[in-house]
Amino acid sequence: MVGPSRLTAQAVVTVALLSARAIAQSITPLAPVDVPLPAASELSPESPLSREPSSPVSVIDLTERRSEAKDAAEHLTSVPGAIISDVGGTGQRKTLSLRGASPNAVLVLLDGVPLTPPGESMDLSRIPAAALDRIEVLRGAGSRYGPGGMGGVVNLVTRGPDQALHVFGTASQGSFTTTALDVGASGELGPGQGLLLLHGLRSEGSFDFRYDATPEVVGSPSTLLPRDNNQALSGGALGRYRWQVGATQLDFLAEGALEQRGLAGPVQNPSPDARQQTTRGTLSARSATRFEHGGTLSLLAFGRLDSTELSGSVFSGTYRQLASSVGVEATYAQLLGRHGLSALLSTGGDWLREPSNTNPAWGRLGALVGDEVLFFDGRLSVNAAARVDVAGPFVVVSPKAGAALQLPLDLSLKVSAGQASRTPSFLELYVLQGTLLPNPTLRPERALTADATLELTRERYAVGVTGFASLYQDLISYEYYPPAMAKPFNFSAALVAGAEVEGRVHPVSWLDASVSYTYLHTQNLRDDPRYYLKELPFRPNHRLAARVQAGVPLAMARAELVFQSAQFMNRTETLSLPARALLTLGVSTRPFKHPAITVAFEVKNVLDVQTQDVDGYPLPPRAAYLTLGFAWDGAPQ
Amino acid sequence: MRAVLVAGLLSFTACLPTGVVCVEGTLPCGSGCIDPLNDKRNCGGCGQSCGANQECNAGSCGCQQGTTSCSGECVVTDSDSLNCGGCGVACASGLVCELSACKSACTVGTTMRCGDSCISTVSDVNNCGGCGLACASGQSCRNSTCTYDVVAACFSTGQLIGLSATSLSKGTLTSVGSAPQSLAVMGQTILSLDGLDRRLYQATQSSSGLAQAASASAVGAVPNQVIVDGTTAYVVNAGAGTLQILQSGVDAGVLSLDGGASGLALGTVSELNFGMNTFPESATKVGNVVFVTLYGGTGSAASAGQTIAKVLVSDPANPTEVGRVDLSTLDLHAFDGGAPVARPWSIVTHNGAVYAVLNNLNPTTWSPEGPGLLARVDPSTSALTEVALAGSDCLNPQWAQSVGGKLAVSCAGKAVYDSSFNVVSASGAGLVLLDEADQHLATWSSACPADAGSCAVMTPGRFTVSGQRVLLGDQNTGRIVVLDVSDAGLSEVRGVTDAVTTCPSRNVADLLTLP
Repeated sequence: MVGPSRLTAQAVVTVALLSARAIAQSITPLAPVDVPLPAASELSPESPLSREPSSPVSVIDLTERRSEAKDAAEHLTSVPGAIISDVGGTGQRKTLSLRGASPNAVLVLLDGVPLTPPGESMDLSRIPAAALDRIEVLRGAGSRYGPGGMGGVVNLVTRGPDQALHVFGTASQGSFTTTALDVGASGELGPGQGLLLLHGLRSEGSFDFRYDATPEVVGSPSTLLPRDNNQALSGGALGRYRWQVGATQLDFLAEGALEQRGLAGPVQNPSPDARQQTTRGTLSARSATRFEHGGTLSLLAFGRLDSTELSGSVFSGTYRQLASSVGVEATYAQLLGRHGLSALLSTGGDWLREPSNTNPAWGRLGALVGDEVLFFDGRLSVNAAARVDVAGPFVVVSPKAGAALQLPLDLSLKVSAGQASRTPSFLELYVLQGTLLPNPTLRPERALTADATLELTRERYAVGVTGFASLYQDLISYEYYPPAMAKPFNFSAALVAGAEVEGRVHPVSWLDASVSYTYLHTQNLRDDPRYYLKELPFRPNHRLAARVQAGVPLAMARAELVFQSAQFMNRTETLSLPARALLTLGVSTRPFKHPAITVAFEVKNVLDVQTQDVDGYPLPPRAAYLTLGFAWDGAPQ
Repeated sequence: MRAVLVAGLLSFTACLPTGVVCVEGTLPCGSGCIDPLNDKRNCGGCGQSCGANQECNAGSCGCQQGTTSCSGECVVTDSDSLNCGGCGVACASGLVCELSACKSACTVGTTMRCGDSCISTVSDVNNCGGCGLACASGQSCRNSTCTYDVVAACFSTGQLIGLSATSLSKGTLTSVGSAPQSLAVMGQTILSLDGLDRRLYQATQSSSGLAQAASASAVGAVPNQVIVDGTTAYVVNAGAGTLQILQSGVDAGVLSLDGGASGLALGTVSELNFGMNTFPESATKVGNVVFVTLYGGTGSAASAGQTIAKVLVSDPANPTEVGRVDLSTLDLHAFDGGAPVARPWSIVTHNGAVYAVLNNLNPTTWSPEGPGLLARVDPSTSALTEVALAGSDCLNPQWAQSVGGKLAVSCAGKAVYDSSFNVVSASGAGLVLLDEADQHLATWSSACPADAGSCAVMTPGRFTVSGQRVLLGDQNTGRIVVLDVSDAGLSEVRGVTDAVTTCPSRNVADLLTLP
């Protein structure tokens, strides 16, 4: 999809400017936006649409996908440059790689609040799609977000409160004894508006997979085996409250979940009693104040707790760790002639409690200054920002500059270049994990990224092409450490370059199609001769995601195809996973508009492809889900 | 805006460092890495060649064993007509030098005339198989053929290195695959089982040294050992839980690689799966039966192992498991508070019986919680006998091999780490020698002597036997200790303080004695 399914490049630029400047009085406004947009007030300063105005941003609008049986990770498969790594099964771990960067170099935010400890990857299966309105994905260096977003930034935007009473819910039942429920209500509450959503998931996860016990014998038969200890059980809640006080809008969020799951292990050597239990909670308070002189002040305060307990004999009993963070961020944007100045200050701290009692902690301090200048009546905007962060013992500098230009024939061009980094995680630095040693001498990883996007936007179709190149430096990699351990070191460098294409066509009201394609070239630029100039593992060269939806609400059909080419599984290019194509088909009907009742049926992996993302962890075979959705709106349109 | 741009640009530091990174102990040279300590073509640095009759030791060119330095040149006074019997002693024109004496012709039956020298081309490393045919550093000339006595596998650097078991001079580190884990020999071809690439690579040797061949075979996950019997290779895939059987002349699963001499077509004829969480680690063959140690998984999955599987391979295309020897009933003599399990690691045939090495580790912490032991299995009756090693002087035993009629067992010991996770000591580490009656004969400790000064800690691993000599690899560093075996026990040739540096900085995964 181009920009979001509903955002054009022009819109992105416009929104960015509007958001940053609180609707300028003294400059010539840009041409009006020709497609629906999130209200400017809904774009927080953390949104890449406002913070990174000249970088490619994909937005997935989930409000029209409520009846699809997917988690947040599955929705992200349509984003160019995105590679999901899935260990297999509903509620099982899924991580996201963007533009070839490792999952721990993709910053994942929930309404601007980082969801992981510094330098760690986010398990996106832990975020139910029912809690989200949209997903904003910045592709490329998230320099203006501080450390962590070398490959990009994912901002998960939660459902917002409604003005009028709105009651909604979905129930889904499907293969592998999977049940998902969510129910919520939203509306006026006291002086503001509130929302409460409850969600739950249960999946036995015991799918059958084809197992070849003697894979080195050509043509050896495979047998069907059940995937045991692969169940997941979770429940959680999202609460939001929004309150307008004069020129200030206050927004409070509370989100949390309890999760349990089995850890099945690799198929040849499963772990029958390994379990993971997590408890997660996020609290945030935000204010946005618009001043008459054109300035906007946004404040964000947050706290986050994430407790993980691993149990079972493979963990020598029970392993517990508790990660926590607090933070405060202030963003001020001010118009000054044709300049839109912005400044950001953030501070906070991160803690980790773990069994070996190293219990690392550090403080964070970040500052950003930026400017955006309009030329030629706003047809050209040039922006630059520099950010400095102190995170524990590390100081990282993250500059970025870009420009957006409106061209004739409904074309637009965006270019950007910047530097981003990832600080080593607490685990990499300080914590012994089984046979994985820490290394307190690690340095932050660094990425230099440049990209250019050309977009064509017409009423019925839109297409965008992006070329990008990133140089990653000081990548951290675990290496053998005698006599029987592994230890992380900074030594690798890599080139990641490629092209991303997004297209969407909407020729008639009942037909909508979108496609994204990514060509990804990776090359190890600094390593010993065994690995030097080889491709990075688990980065397929070609990836295509296509979606066609046809019909009217009474009868709608949908087809989705995700193809990816073969990919290497090791650094020496001797082991590879074959290419694959996963097809999803869905039909739905919405016979009533008020209340809106939706019945949807969906079949995933229609072709019953036997495949895997992680060696030894099969993905589920063909699966079917039936979803019933309802929504009652006190003020129907 | 200008200030922001300037600040941003300034923060971009200099060009990214890129290029080949050579592992510790090697240096960049051309498009690869060289071994400046042992490579006589790059001795002490890239492109610094040693001269005739010289070898590279510790980065310096020196005279080969058996040669003498005369006016800066290394000569063989036994046969050099210009230095016959001593420096500057030249034979008269027309005479030859034989056995340090000037003669009119070569008189000893095993020698032939090469210029004015009488040379035994059967054994002379500078004229091996013919006049002027010099062997590579570390090679011996045996039956007119240049060959290493021993080849070592450097797992961490993806290299093999040959050496002489007598002079302990070394050849050049040669890249073969990515992470050689186990070595065996089939005919003249060295087989290198690669843990990272999941391949069975092949290497050949010539008077130039070792070279990777252009053929390889695909193997299963986490391969740990390859053994060879005739033209059949047996690969133990620990991660896949299988015994894979390959035979020469079979094409299935054979990979053709770029460059190198053509190798054997060593294809897979069968594979036998032992079940989930069995983790087979090692194998030995007695008659038509291959005995495979099943180590078992972590935690409760340890119970899937603790046995020795017996596989009938009279028809290699249809291997059949014919029984398992249960080790879980053995008394492991646990230390106070310990709860080890009977994990069989390596296995060897010795004096007609099968001996499995028992690490005696805790199933989840992997810490030694009992003395190292052996399980002796009668191949015909499967009768099981426990064999003691050296009590707490041998912890976490690793490898066993026959030395004459005796049995040598290496012990990795219990490692102690400092706050930076460097091994600072290893108790119960060394080599144990049992006599023909399985009684303790001697123990050599690899602990650093108290007065040794700086001494790298050794954790012994696999070893090989050349005659009565044991070459013992270190898993902690890339060194080899050399011990001689006699009826009196073990004597140090090169101990822990003067061990032979072999693999660059990291572990010696395996050692192979060539026939």
